[in-house]
Amino acid sequence: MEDDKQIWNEFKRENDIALSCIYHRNIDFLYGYGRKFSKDDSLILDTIQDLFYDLIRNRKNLGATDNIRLYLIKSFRRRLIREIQRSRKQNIFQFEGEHVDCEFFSIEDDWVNAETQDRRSKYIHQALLALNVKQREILYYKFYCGFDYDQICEIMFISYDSARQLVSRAIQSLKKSLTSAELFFLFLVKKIRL
Amino acid sequence: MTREKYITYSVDELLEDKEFISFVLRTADTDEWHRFIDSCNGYEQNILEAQQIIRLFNTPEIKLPQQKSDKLWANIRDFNAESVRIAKVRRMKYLTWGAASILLFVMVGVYEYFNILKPSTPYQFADYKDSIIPDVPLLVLSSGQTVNLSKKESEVTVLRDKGAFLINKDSIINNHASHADDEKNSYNEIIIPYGKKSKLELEDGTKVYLNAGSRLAFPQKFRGKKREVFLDGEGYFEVAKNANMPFVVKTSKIDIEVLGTRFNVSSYQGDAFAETVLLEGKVEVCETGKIFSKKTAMLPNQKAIYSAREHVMVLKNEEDPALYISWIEGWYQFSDENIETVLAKIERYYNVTFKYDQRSFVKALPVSGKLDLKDSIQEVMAVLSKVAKFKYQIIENEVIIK
Repeated sequence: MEDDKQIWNEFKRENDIALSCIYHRNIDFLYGYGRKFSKDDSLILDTIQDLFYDLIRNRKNLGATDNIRLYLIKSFRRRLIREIQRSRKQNIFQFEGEHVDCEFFSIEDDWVNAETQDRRSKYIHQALLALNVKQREILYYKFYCGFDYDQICEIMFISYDSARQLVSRAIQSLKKSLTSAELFFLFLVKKIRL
Repeated sequence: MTREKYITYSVDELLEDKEFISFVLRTADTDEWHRFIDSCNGYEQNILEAQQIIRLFNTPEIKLPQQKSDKLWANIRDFNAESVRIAKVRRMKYLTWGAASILLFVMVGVYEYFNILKPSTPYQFADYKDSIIPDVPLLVLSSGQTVNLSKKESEVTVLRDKGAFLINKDSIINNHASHADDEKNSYNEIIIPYGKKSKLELEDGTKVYLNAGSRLAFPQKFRGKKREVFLDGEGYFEVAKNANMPFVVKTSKIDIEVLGTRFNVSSYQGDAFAETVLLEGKVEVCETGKIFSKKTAMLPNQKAIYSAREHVMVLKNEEDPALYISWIEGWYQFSDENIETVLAKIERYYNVTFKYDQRSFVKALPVSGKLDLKDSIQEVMAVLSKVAKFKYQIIENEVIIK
């Protein structure tokens, strides 16, 4: 996007409006993305703040980009994982013996939103259970962010081939879990629309 | 409408179609979407199924409360204003202090002039090739005694004021060297062959992690104005702070001078490049053996690459410097690296030799990825060949790439 490129260059030239624009266009997305990794709000907000502080500090030396969100997400993901692992390590000290896994993209809480009682949420919950964390993460980039494979590879540090494989396996499992009961649901949706 | 073609697509094809995905994301629950479904005339089964899968991930955002967002923005805005202000002040200072800097320059010049009078002699690593068994990590004491460190990941600690070493946390070796005046002889050497690594703690508390195929020469006790060690290969240094006695890592290509900090150096004699990555603190890097060589000051999260062929030092920002010390933990992560650089590193870790036609890599794209170094060379090659798209064959310690 030409727009992104221009905003980025303006930001590098110390234009305050460009910084404001980058922040306000992405803050909700970054926060929502952070929530997929952790439910610790202060950890997420601190990490976002560090991300922006470093952008400001290093702005003269930043590379060019034509996709600001992708640029942010790459750096943000790495920082988040590091912070989460750091905080988990401390936790392990507190509760010795308790095994903690890195459950990125866990399907609890807001993945399946507030009205857990409604049919659609239950259905989503059921379907997502069929996927592992990596699969959930990659489909999120593909179907929510609309990133292409090259961009996904950059974010997740995986090869093109493994990205394709991860997606295709995930889709097969999802299709399998869309059993006849779910087809009824599909049918319902269609009926209502008609 | 071109969208009519979608009725002939399978679910998988729809889910790989970027335009279809963005169409679904854009029109979720709008009239446009319903009109499109109606226009399918009963052939919409696959489209609905694909849409259901896409929309699984399209859950409503939890919005950051406005108050929190405003507060975060205020912090960032203030930080920005402050940093812009400091940058401006700094520019002003450069102007007003122009005269003073000329004086300073003259003084530096005089200092450099006196340095000419005592050019430092480059350290010569002793040639043990004939006398040692290959593939064994060794500690060679200044007395001439050799100690086999035996482990794949050995540990050596210099015991302070005792003239002794603790090896692999279980045995103590005394260094019986007469503390002669001949400085050269008073260095101990640690030699780590390919396929092994080691952790060393020096007398001043500085920690050094040595990577495969590296050698380090270090004194039993630091004397004089500087703490000097000599390195050939790759090492990660956590230098103990001592403002009165700078720590200097000397290699065949570059010298790195520090006070107290954490950084990684890779300077193998056989490599065309020497690399320094700074994680914390401040260091100065300069070309080895040049009296007027320019010192390059590095800041944290920067990488200095020195090309021996062109005698040029280039400074780059490094978003994630931790990548460069991942080898300590037993994995190797690389981002946009030249395939030949990656192969050279793997050669050292696994003690294998790659045979390949350099011309075939001229057009190869840089590769990114992560290798678990606890995996066997077979597993590593399987992954790498997929990423870099080549065929290979392993015959004993040789890997032939086609």
